[in-house]
Amino acid sequence: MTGPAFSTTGREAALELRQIVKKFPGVLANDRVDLTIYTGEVHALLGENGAGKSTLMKVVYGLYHRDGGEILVRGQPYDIRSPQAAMALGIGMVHQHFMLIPNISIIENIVLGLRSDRYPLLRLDEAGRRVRALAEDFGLNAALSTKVGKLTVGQQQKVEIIKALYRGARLLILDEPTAVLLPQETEELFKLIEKLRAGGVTIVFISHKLNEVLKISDRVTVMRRGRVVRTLTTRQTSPAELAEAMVGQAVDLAVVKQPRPAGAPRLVIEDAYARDDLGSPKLNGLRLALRAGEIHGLAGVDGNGQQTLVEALMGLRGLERGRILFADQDITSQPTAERIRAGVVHIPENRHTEGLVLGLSVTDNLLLDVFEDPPYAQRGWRQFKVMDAHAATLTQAFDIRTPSPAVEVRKLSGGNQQKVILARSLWRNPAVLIAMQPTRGLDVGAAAFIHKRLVEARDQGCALLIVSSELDEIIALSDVISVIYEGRIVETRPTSETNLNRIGFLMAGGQPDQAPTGRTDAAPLLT
Amino acid sequence: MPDSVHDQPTARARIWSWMKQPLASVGLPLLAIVAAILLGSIMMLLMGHDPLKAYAALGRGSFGNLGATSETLKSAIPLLLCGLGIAFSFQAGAFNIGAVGQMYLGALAAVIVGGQFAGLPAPLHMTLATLAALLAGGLWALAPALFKVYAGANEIISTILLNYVGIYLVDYMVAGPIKAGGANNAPISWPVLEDVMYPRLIPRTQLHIGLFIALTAMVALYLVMRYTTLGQRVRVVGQNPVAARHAGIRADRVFLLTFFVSGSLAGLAGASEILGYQVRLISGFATTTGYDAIAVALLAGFQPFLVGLAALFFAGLQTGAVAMEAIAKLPSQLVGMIRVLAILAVLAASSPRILALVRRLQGEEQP
Ligand SMILES: Nc1ncnc2c1ncn2[C@@H]1O[C@H](COP(=O)(O)OP(=O)(O)OP(=O)(O)O)[C@@H](O)[C@H]1O
Ligand SMILES: [Mg+2]
Repeated sequence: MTGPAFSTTGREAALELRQIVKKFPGVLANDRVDLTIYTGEVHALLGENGAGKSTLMKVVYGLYHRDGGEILVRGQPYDIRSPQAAMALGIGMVHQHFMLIPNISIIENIVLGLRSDRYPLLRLDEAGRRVRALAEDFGLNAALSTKVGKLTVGQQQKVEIIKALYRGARLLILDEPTAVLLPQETEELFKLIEKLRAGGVTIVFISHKLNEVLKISDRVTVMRRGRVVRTLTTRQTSPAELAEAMVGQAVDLAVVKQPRPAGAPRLVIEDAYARDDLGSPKLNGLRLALRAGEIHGLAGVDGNGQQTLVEALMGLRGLERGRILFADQDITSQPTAERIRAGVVHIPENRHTEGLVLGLSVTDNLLLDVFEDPPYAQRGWRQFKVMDAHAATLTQAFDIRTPSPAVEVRKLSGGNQQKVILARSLWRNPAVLIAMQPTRGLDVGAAAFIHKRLVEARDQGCALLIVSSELDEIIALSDVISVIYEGRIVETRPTSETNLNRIGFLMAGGQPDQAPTGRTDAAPLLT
Repeated sequence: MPDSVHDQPTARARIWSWMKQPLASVGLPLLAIVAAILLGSIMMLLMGHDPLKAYAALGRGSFGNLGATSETLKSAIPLLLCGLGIAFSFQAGAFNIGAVGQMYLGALAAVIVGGQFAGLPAPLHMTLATLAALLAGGLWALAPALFKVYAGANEIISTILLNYVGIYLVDYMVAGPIKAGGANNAPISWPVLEDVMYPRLIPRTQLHIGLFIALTAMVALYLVMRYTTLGQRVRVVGQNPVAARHAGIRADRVFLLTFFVSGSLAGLAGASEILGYQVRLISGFATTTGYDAIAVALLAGFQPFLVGLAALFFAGLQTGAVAMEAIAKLPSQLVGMIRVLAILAVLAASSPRILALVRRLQGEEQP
């Protein structure tokens, strides 16, 4: 950031929270929170998983009703009881998990629930003009009649933001907007945020990524266990200070890893061809070998076949050609259940749609792929005592913050939901672990813990494949890195013999013989 | 931690928090029933009838004496069996609307097997006729499930269509192949042999042991859902089929299985009608039972024991309606309308909007 440090003097408070309390059964999610957001600032909200960030913002947005305290908008106290009421006050929110309806168009999503002046008829033409102006302003490159389900995640997010602005938002709350974005999309989002700030919009920005917080915000408020720990001016703080304020102690963010010779190939995919659901070819003669005791990173621009590769390895998608070997056995046509039983497990990319059954308990979700096997079931009868004991162990070992394992997983914070999936995959020392975006949405402490567990799994001989859009994470964790481009592996190299520039060059479709060379500097990992 | 909060819950908040648990599970259906009764009263008043008298007649006609009660219980049997099947399939996300057709096929199988093979030992014959009905209903349900799994055909539409096919098939059969002797007779099937008929539970009533079959199915379904891995598989697939696939559960198989089970239960309902008291199959022998059972399952929120209660409620309306007509002199159309009102109220109560409202009251205002 350039310019002087953000100063609050002479600024109007866009939002002031006084002694906000929000309770859920067994949880005090917000404990007498005081927070002042000034007009025109980008205010970051930082805190451990389950610290109460999303809850606090949902109270402001009228989704939850506070159990105590006061909300002042531009100096006036209001009792905000619904998102409609919040929007009327110029408050908009983009959620951690998107709320758009996939099978209707962009424009319909944006005007959904608003009254046109010709009610009950829709006036999409009139709305279209205003929305188009916003869309152009923010670089949404898609026709407004496009179905939202066809958009990339980054585009969907822009739609969410435009929707809020169209409804007159002057204070925009973004709950972990970057968790689902690719690096270049994050860059775009930041430009958009700068633009909004210049236009006088106030922004609350929730993130776990310290470097992002440092880059985009004017001030940072750190929360821990439902309370505000402190509010800092961004320019006057450091990653270490923020991390310590968050967790309450100094955290070691660097991945510690001893070099270790890799074992025999454990899971091999050869000459694989496959198509996605829409019928377009996604794997085009891909080959890849995961070795025992090795972390294999897969770098690539999203949409180059990563998803299809993982599905093929897990038996969720058939191959048109090629084969898959597990410990030298052909498993090409083996169903998913048998692969899981043999120790090939995975962490899916999207926790809500692929990873969890939100309406079932934490226990049920921890056991989702083994509940039919002994000792959790005997001859078809579920063994509740065994399951409960197992769940108690895992919630403790993985620090899953929940009032009890019997709670619906829906009620956990985003990061704690992710920990449920991680615990499910890691506890049993899998033979192969395929992890997509494993630390998405985790706070720095939890991410460091998971990194440690992944390295431990490797040391115990597990073969790991890490698919992540965060190159930093891949470089810090992996022993070898493969770059995927248009359904093929362009290059596989030990991490020590490649570097960020080279990987970036190959990801963009460059030829290996023209790629920049050099070694990776072992930089500490900042999540 | 919580003790550090200084707040004074208002009296209203306390009452809410006390009410909200039961309100969600039992309260909502009860509310629906109360609403239906009130709406019915208004309609009766508008048409110049005395609602109190009418409801008194309804009560007496459905549960007023042994005869009425056993008649109500008898009518509850097919509603319970079909309702259980529907509850099971809906929980797996398999929308079987085809109980009508499956019940028809069950009845057809029962009358064919039960009316032939004279000389078999009675208990064996009875069992065979019942099993034939079960299988017929199950297979009739399996067809649309297979269409869905292998061709992607929407199961709601195909099961409804198959209802018509089932009804026409029975019409055809009772007018021809299994028609009772004599060319001039009305379209009605041959009778089930006398010793194949289910034993009566209470002499001089029509209440038969089909009641035990239905109650056994109810307890079995409860146990399956509560304690077995199959029940858990059904829940997981029903709530998130994609996550189920990722966890290695074959959602397709669960879909086929729940459809088969649900059809079998409807088939049993058909058998219990024929073998229980109807003796012969006639066209149009139960055109609405399979649909009413959907309302029964929804009203019960798919909970087996509550399905039992809901079936009893609907059966009571059915038998009590006769008394309303006879004693309170209500036109039968009005009685029919009240029954439909009850169904509508149930459907309204299970609509997403109202469910969201209840969630809100429970303090878990999930967006
Ligand atoms: N609807 C709910 N019902 C019950 N408990 C809830 C509900 N929503 C949140 N909680 C609990 O409140 C606490 C705070 O959750 P919240 O989602 O605000 O955390 P967060 O700071 O956003 O965390 P994350 O970084 O993981 O998203 C958690 O303990 C969570 O389990
Ligand atoms: Mg959150």
